[in-house]
This record gives sequence, C-alpha cells and structure tokens, in this order.
Amino acid sequence: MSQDDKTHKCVEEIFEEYGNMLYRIAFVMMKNQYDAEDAVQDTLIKYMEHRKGFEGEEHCKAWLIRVTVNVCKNKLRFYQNHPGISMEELSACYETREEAEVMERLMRLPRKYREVLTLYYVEGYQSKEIAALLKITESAVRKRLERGRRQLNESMGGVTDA
Amino acid sequence: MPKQWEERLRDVVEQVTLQETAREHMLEACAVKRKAAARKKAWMKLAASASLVCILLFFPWGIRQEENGTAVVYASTGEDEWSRLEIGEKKLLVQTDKLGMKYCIFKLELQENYLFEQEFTMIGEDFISIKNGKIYWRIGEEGNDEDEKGERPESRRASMRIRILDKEGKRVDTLELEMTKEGEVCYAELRRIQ
Repeated sequence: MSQDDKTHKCVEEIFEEYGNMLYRIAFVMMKNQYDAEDAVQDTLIKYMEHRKGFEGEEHCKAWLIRVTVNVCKNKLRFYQNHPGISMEELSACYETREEAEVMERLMRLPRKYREVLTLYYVEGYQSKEIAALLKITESAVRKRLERGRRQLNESMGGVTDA
Repeated sequence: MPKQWEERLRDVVEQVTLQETAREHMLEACAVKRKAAARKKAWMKLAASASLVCILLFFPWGIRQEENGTAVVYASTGEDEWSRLEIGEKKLLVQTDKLGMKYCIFKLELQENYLFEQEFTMIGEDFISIKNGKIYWRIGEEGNDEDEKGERPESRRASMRIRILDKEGKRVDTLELEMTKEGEVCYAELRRIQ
C-alpha cells in the first residue's frame, strides 16, 4: 500500500465509529466513568496529533485500541489507589441486579485479565491479534484468557446459583 | 454453560456506552485542542518567518561586519598603492626609503565614532610609530658587526595590537598586525584576536 492510500479520518468520524468501543475498553480497565472518559479523550487527542495515515480501517482501529490501553495503563500507574465504581453505582447503570453483578465480577478481576477478556469476548479479537495489540506473546494472552475465564466462570457460577 | 457467561459478559460490557453529555464534552475538548494546535502552528510559522526575515536582514550584514570589522588596515604595496589587508592574508610589502631608513607603511581607517588604541606586542630592534592614522614600521638596523652576523635571525618580526573602541570607550574589536622580514622581503599579516 502506497503512502497515498493511507487514510486519516477526521476525529468526529473516528469518535462516531469507535467512541463507544474505546470507552468500553477504557471503562473495563479504569473501572470508573470519569477516568474512562478522560482516557478516550486523551486517545482522540493523540489521534489528532498522529500525523501518519493508517493502512486501512483495521490498522486504525488497532492503533486506537492500543493507545487507549496504554493511556489507561499510564493512568493506573499514576494512581496508587485507583477508585473503582461501586456496586451501588453499577446497579444504577443496569436494569437487573444480575447484570450489575456480572460487571462487578469482571471489575474484580486483575486488570490484565479484564483487558484480554474484553478484547476477546466483547470486541471479538483473536489471541494473536490481542498479542499484537498489547505487545505481549500469544501464549501470555492464552494464559490470561484461561485464568481470567476460570476466575470469571467460577464467580459467574456463583451468580447463577444465587 | 461457558457460552452463558460469555454472552452475559458481552451483554453487560456492550451496555457500557458514552453518555451524550460526555460525547459533547469530548468533542468540544478536541475542538479546543485543534484550535490550540492550529494557533500554535500559526505562531510557529510566524516565528519561523520572522526568524528567517531577521536572518536575511541581519546575518549577511553581520558577516560583512565580521569580515570588515570596524577598522580596515591598508598596507603600502607600491608607490602610492595601498592594498587592503584581509584577515589571515599575508601580503608582500613595499619598503620605503626615508633618510636612509627603511619603512613599511600602513594606513588605518576606522568607522565613524570609533577610536583605537595600540599595544606593541613584539618590537625587538624595530620601531613602530603612528602618525596621522598611518603606522610606520621602521625596520631595525642590522648592524655591520661581523661577529653579530652569525647570531642574527634569518627573519625578524614585529607586531602590534590595535584595539578598536566605540565612542563610549568599550572595546569592540582587537586586531593584530604582524610584520615579518624574511631576507630582504617584508610581509604583513592581519589577525583578529578573539
């Protein structure tokens, strides 16, 4: 693909297309609305400052996800005691208590499991793609998925039984 | 069984969406950032243009000033012939005979409102005098004593420093005029002292 074929959409288009996806990822990582919004905003600003074009939609989407994840990681590194959303707040966001509990259980998982589970089960990325996005090995992704899945499955079982 | 929680997980995460007010705030922030970036870019362009203009206006002049300085030294290189001494250039001089004494003559031209003061740094048996803006280098007597001939150096050298002062007496430039005699031939070289 030549340099001319590279695309760079305006930030409004990007926001319209990927805003919610980025927010979901940021929310799962940051565990609260305001930090997630900040992370998305930072990502959009970084997008505006990104001079090089993208080699297609997928490249652009992957870049946005990678930047969002990195922005979130940086923010989490900055906060020693990062405040997460409370169960009461989650309950207010969801129609059923069960949904809020599923989210709460996801939030309780360590950050590294949360991010791979979200990318795999929600955004539909494959292990190989997640490895490239997070700059970790594919086997590390598989291990995180397996452990995260196990922990979540166990806790979900608790929800079902309740 | 696993499908159940996967679906539920997808469902709950997909319900996480940006609120309209947050969307507006973010787009506003982006617009502000874009405006700031555009302003910064414009300022940078302006600053770059202004710098370029300054360079074009002053730099060549600065170079000329550096080359010319505030003083120009001419050396007598022939009968009624004066050659400008450039920094670092060695120039062959003509020797003027006056009352049996040999002289090399230099002329110093200063820009308006500038003065100079001199310091003789090496003079040996030579004699340097300044009169009416002209510098006379009288080449010292070599003597006729046969005993001294063996000790006499093959080249002789004299030098002086010319300090250029502005009207407030502040030194703005220092030049060194070195005069050498090699055999029967005299040369002059002008240097700038940093």
